[in-house]
Amino acid sequence: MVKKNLLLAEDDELLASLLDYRLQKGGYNVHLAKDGRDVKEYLKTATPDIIVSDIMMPYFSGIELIDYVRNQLNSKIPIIIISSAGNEENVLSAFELGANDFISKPVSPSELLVRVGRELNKK
Amino acid sequence: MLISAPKIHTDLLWDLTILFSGLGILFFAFVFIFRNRLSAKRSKVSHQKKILAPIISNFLFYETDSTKEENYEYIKLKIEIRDLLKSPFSRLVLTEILLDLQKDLSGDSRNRLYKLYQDLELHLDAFKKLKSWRWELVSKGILELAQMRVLVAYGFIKKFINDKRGVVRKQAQIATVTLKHEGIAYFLDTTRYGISEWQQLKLLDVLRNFEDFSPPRFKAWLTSKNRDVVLFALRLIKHYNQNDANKSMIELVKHRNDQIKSEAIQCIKDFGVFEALYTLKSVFRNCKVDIKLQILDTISSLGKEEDLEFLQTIVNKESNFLVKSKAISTINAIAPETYVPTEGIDKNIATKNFKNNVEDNSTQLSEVMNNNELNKDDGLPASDHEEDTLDIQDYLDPEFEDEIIFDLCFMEELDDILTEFNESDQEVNYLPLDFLPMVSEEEKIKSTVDPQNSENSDVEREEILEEESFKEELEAILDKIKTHDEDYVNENEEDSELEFLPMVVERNAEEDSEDLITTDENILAIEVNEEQVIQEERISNLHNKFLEVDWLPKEELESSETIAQKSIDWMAFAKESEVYDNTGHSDGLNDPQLNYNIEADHSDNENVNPIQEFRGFSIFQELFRTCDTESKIILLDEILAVGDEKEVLFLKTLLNDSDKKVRAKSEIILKELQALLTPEIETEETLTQIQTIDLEAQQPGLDEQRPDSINHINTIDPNILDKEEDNMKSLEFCFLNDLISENDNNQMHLFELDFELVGTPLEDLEDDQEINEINKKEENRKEEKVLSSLIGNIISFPKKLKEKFNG
Repeated sequence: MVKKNLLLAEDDELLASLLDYRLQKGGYNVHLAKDGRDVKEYLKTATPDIIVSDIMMPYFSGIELIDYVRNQLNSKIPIIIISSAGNEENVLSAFELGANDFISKPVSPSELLVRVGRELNKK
Repeated sequence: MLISAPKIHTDLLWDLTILFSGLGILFFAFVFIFRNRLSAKRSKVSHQKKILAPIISNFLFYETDSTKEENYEYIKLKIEIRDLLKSPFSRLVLTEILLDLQKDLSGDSRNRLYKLYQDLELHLDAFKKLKSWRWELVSKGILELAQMRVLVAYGFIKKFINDKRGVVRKQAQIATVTLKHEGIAYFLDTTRYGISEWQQLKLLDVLRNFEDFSPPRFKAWLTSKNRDVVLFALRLIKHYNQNDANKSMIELVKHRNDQIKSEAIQCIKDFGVFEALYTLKSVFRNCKVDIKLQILDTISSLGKEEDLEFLQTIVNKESNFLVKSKAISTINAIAPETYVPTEGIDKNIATKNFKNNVEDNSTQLSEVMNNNELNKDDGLPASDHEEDTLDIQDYLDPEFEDEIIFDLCFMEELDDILTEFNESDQEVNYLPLDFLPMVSEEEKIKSTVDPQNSENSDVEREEILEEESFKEELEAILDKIKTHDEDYVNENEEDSELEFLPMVVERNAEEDSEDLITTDENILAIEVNEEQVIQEERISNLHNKFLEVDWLPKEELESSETIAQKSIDWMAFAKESEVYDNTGHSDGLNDPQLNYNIEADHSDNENVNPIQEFRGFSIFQELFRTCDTESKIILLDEILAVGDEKEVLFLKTLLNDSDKKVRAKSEIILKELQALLTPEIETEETLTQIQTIDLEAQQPGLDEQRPDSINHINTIDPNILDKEEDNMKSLEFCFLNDLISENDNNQMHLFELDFELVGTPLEDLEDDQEINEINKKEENRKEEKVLSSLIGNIISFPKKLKEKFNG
């Protein structure tokens, strides 16, 4: 069984590492990106099956990432947004731009795994 | 002077340079060293985190049903981390990692994290911190234990609840409440210090995030001696809807602390404690404004109709606008629309409707009453009905109905008049009194035709207040004058408005009798008779001004009256001498009534010598009032030149003058004038005698010339005199002309010429030609007076009168 490629964009290294470990353990081929620039560089060379991105990132926010993927790459890659509590306005903006799902911090890695699987199953 | 630099030793400068250079180097070295140390530590922590993060991830997501490889990896990592934990730095980094992760993780991962924290015995480091003497370490230790949910630390942390150090105490309070559910009870029982608002919020936030938390009955702490505990308990009661403490809350309404009182009232309102209304009303008076507003707000929710009396009392007695307004709002909440809007409401609308009803038909008032009663049945607020009913009943009171109707009509009229007045262009001197009811009192000025018989011809005189109407009426009168309308003088109201003007009688010179020659006038006389009756103060200012126009000086009103009587006597004399011309120009004489009176007077005074009775007003009399003795002497000389019978009377009065010179001169002039006025009676010898006396007195050098000049004067051909007299006017007219056309200097040369003549001494009269010139000038002057027509003066009179009024 071929592992799905998952792009995880998270500036918090500890959380990224923890989620990376959990997602890899969940059967995904995870590519970590610590900021928006890494995301754009990766997207120029590869096309992940799903993107899990934090909204607040340096250089390139999660909202801009969605806009970039949807409007410039014209890609329908499923995008799951990780947002902080009390950041509902950004979540609404993300959904308006084409985000598929969102999960708020504190994150439950098990929950994220379920949501990623569900989005990929929709595809 | 040039400023010279201070002399400093070069070695000192070098020493200072070295010193500051060394200090600079030390500073930059210090910054560089510490920056490197921080960077090294950060990189070391980062590196350590990269090592520990997978380990922690492995530990967190390890499952017992893993494969052998995973189990092997897990055991390997466990051994590895045991080695790392021997290093304090690694323990510190691991603790930091776990504390960071517990913020980002939730659910099962977080619980595993708590467990891992205790499995790695990291909590022992936190316990060590609690024993530190440094308050920040203690606080940090308490926070760490609370965050990692080290339940065994509960007993240690709760000891810090009443710690003297505020940060430690607050941290301990939160930790106590966080670690165990019963922590809140313990905290409320034992805390002795105050609980800040922020602390209460944080504690409440901790309690809210509890899962499966069954809060204690917080009413137990309503009896706490700690005021903040009571307040926090009330808030917790409200938060958890614990409505089993009504009695305690009612009692807390009486609390001295406004915060507790406010919180209790809020609880009462939220829980609907109706039995608290009495207490709320009892404490209302002694409360502050915000508490009063809160009580009223509670009453609006819980109150009933029996509370309206209390609220109405507040409305009546409360001085604070907010409270009063809130009380009204509360009344309306209990009994809707008890108070209706009053601000900006035109209250006269109902009155106006009623007013119209009164004007149209008073019976419609009853309809209004009926409508009002119908509205009552519609369920409108009782207060509205009461007000309307009272108003209408007042109107319907028969005792006041007439007064009300009168007032309403009067107010309407007044409004209209004031509106018109504001719109019209009013003159400055015009007093806005014409809005008053037309209750003008007719001023009757009596023209006395025959003062001796006291039979007066009364002509009604109305006040003329407006210039335009005056002009129109004046034009009408002038038209009638031109057309010789015989009915003009009859009882025409408009004509009567001209009565303030002097009565003008123009006579045809061709029919004058020879007796009139002595008057040195053509037959034209002006009769001025004004009897001003100023008895009431209600006469308008304009009318007063009008009456006060200097037809004659005030001081001489009495004398003018006498003069008028004399003038009428003169008219009687003229009538007797059959000078009147029925087809003449004198409209005044065409007045039947006037003619009748004149005839009557004539019949009554048949035996009176008209010459003796003739009296006139001397123009010199006015001049004498204001001039000095020297001027009087000069004027007396002029009297001789231009004087007539009137001056004779005036000269007689001067015989009693206080000034001897004036008396002497008057006597001389009187004799000379009398001689001049009686040329036919007196003999030439008499004249010569007079002239001789005069010449002897003043001009002894004129013995031979004077008689010639006098003879020349007295030997004027009577035919020539008659012709000249056709165009001659009386001197009274000159005076009147002066009064009417004060500014018309071209027509008023009389006095100027007089003064020129005054400058001519009597000794110059030796030249007959000069005398003739003077006589010619005098004749020309009289001709000019004739040219200044009466009609022109009358037409220009209003304008001049207005100018006089405006000063």
